[in-house]
Amino acid sequence: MDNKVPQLNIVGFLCNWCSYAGADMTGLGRNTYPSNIKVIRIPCTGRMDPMMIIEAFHNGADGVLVSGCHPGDCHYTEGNYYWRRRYPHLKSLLEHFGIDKRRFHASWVSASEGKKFAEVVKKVTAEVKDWRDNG
Amino acid sequence: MDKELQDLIKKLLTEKKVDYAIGYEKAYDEFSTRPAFVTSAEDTARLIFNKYCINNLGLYLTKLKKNKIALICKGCDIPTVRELVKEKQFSRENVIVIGAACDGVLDKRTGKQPEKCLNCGVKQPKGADFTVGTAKDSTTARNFNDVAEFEKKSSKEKMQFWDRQFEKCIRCYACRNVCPVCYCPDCFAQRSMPEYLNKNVDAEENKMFHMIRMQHVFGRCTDCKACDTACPVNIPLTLLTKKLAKDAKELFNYESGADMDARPPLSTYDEDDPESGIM
Repeated sequence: MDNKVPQLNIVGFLCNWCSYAGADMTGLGRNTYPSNIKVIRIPCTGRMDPMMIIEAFHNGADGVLVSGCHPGDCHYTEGNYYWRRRYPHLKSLLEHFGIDKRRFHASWVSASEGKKFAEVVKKVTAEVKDWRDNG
Repeated sequence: MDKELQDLIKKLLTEKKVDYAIGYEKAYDEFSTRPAFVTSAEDTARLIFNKYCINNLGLYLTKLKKNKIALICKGCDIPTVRELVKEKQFSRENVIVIGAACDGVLDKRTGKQPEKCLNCGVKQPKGADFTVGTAKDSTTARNFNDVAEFEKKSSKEKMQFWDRQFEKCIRCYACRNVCPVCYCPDCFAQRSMPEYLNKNVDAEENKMFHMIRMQHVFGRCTDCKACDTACPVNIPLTLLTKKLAKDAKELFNYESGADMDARPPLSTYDEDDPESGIM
């Protein structure tokens, strides 16, 4: 059984090499997590065009999660380092436009951290739910 | 001061140091100026400089890459030149920057000085090849108080504020066209594959346009306020560009157009960057 929160859409952009495999591992390990997250596979968090995140919010996503390899583990050596710089700036800019900080998250999940992925999704869903219920 | 400026440009043109000079000339009334492109020594009589010279002429550099240009800049326009040189949009040898000392410009719509002039530290231009006139810098330092004040609002209030502002937007793209660092020949706003932005004008689409534009100029925007001045419906774009400057300063200790050697914040990284809340 999943612990889905009704009518809550979270878009998860997962990096092909770590987090996507990590999400797979979550299922293999029989860990449960809320099925509110809709996963989109991206090659690398360094490819994460901020336009796509803005578009996700624009098209009605309640939350966005971007997840990639731990720093130093990037398949392309340095992609996630660029993302680590882009994230705080984008978060701050979105907040300035009125998109609450509880709606936009990032995480590092490696291919073996199935349990961590479940935890991350639970946490993100709780935060987004908190934003929706309490404003 | 006009005479000094004209003589200087006359000299540069007759010595064939430059092909063009870009400056200001009087437009239809005494409160208006427009950009003037001067190619011959006789023509220099058109050039003026006064408090209505509000445009940032750095805009034309990306469009005249092959010519040698003399460019009249206020102190606040010089960072634009540096930023464009840094982005390799033209070479520094091809432009002669003539700094015009400025006591603050006047926005003819309001008849008041824009906010940038009140805390201006570059009334006497810094980093120009030639300087014309003298002016005294403001005693108060540049601050981000208004942005900090706005940040204190709740996200709901911020959302409502911007929704109201962007309802006014007619998507004329004046802010983009007048922006010196918005020089992509193929802008996302007009691209049809993929179509990021719907072509019809509604508040949500307008907001998305501005969000993406702000994201694109982060770390490159020199906060010259050209977009704010150009906006026909008075959307306070200053609040956004200043936020970008504040973020660049606070997150990456970077000021665009200030240091020629510093790498733009998003095109580089450091292995010891802070995690900033990434789970």
